[in-house]
Amino acid sequence: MQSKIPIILQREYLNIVRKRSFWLATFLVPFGFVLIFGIQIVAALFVEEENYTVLINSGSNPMVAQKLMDTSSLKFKQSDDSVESLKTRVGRNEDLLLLILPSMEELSSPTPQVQLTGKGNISSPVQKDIREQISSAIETYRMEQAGLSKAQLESLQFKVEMKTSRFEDGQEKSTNTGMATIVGFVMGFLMYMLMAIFGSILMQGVIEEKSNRIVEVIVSSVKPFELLMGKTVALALVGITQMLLWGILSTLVMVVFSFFIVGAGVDPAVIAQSQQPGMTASPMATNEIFAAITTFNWNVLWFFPLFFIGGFFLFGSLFAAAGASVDNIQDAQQFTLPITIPLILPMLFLQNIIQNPNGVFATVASLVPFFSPMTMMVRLSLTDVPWYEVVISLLLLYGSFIGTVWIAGRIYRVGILMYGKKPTFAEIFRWIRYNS
Amino acid sequence: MDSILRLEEVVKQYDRHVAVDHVSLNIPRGKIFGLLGPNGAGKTSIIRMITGITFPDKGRILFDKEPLTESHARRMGYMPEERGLYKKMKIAEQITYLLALRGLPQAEAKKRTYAWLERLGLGAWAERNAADLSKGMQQKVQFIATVAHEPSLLILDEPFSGLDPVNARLIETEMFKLRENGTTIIFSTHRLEQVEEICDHIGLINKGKLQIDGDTAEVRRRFQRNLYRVEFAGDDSWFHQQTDLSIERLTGNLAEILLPQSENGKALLQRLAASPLDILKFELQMPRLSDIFITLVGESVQSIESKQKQTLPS
Repeated sequence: MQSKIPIILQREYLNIVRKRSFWLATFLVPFGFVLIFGIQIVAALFVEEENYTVLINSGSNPMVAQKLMDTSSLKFKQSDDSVESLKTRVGRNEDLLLLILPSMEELSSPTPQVQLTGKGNISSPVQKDIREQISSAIETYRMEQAGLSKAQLESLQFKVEMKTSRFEDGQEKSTNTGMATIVGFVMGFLMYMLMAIFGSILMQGVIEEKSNRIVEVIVSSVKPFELLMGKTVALALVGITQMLLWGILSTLVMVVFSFFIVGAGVDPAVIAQSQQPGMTASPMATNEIFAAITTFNWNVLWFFPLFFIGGFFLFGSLFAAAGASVDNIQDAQQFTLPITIPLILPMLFLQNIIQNPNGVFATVASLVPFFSPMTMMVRLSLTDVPWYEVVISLLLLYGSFIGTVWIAGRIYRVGILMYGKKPTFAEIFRWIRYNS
Repeated sequence: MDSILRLEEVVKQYDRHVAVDHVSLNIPRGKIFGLLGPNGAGKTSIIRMITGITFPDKGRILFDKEPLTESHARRMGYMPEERGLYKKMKIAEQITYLLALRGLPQAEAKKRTYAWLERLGLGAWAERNAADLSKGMQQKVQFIATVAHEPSLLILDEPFSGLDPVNARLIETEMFKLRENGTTIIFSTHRLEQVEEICDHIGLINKGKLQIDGDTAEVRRRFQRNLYRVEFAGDDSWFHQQTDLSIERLTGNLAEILLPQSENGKALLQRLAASPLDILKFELQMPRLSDIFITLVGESVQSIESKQKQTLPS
């Protein structure tokens, strides 16, 4: 007897793919992601400058005052006016700030006090800039007091620049942890969303067939397990279809987007200079983001469908069993809770895994079947996971879903024919042992 | 007897409740078989085993002398008591899908779907969603999905429940047509009065046990009490004078007279003919199926049903 799964699969697949919501999600999600990246790029590109003239009461502390250097946005100006009249000026003009420096005696205190006054709120980059300049001025002053020469002073000042890289196929490639973190988080979150959404679509489908009473006609033609498999596989294929479309769309949108931003062969800095006055570009940021996009190991994306299928079968079959046990969606809540908890749990330790993707915790979490779809994707994005760990993780995941699918199938075949009273957990466990 | 379906000592148990208790049945080919009994008697449990949805715990079911398998689904049609459709699926697609699941090739399923929709006057609705159809139309659609693959065995669980009189009539007519074409029909009902004229054969179920089965007329004959029914015109005082007759009922111009099993009606008819009464009608009263049920289980279907709560798996 030829299996009827393909007939069911076809109906279930078309049923979802024909829906408007499927196409809406398919188009909106990549645009959403590109939009998030795009906004970050644009934000990095156009940092609005704040220009201030910082008035310093000339009597306050000449030692520090003379060491303060003008920057592109800050101009320091000593004034002989009284503090009171300076305050009145600052109160009238938004472009003015008043800085009151610590007294000479205070310079040796562990916490020298500085007062900065403006008309409105002073943004934290400006505060930071001024604070750092004063700190460095006090530091230099203290070193001079300690008897260090200018040359000695300069030799003491340095800044470490770190570049990270990784080995891939014997070649060294530069990396960008920031990008990997973002991708890792997106992977984990997307995996969670897909498993939760597709799981609940499957459950709703089961409840629909049960509540509109078509299921009894269907299972008189096919085995309940065939119906369950047809529905589950169809949804898994819908998921794969959606991922493929996302891949294609994201690539397209990225290409178009980068074409607009970078222009054909034009340096980002050139575009930056052509912007309106008051806006200056930081071409470094753009370059870094594009470098990050190109250096990220996009091959890890191929693992996404593999873990999605495993995770979806694992959770989806349980969602289907929950759906088969009830007559309506309201009653389903009680039975979905124990499924949702292991589904959400990895979200709580995503942060830990991102911080230490090679730690014992991350390694264990990426092997446990219920957690591995999300946690392993995060690890794969961030670090080189040994191949055998990926294999073990997949084997455990696929092995467990065979188990849950079997149990779910047993519950499903009894549940779909039960109407009326909502069953208890004990009753559902008894169904597993029923003869069909 | 040539039977299309044979149940041999079939047992089905749910937890500690025995839903079907050693039931043996023969369903004669080309007849309409009524599976009767109160709600919760085990009718649906039997039907679910016949349709291959569940399997007997003990005993076996033979379809055309072969043990029942999934491959027989192609030759069966099943309309459950509680039935429905996908609300947001076009009805032509829906019927085609259900027929394809029965094993009909897609193209053939599609062809028959449209032919049947035309035949039952639903041609214009083929591309509409089920939700757009009236309840009566949906019932027709369900019926098409049950019969369009021309099954040799049709199983209808409470086919008349929830039907308006027009559609009930339509289904009844279609059932007779199908029987003429050689289809065997099993249908279950708890409303015994519905089936006396429709069913060639009956099986009476109570508490999971088969109480009686056989040819409908034969069963009724077996339970007839030798009660004669007389319709007359004239003064009923003549009956009061016949002290040797056991008169069970005398109202207006109707009398019911019970004769000893050894006698037939001939002597009584002669006495009536000699009386001053005008005899309008004289007949041997055949028992109603509901009376037979009471005789067998000592309770009426209604009283059993009112006692039962729907806690049993149906």
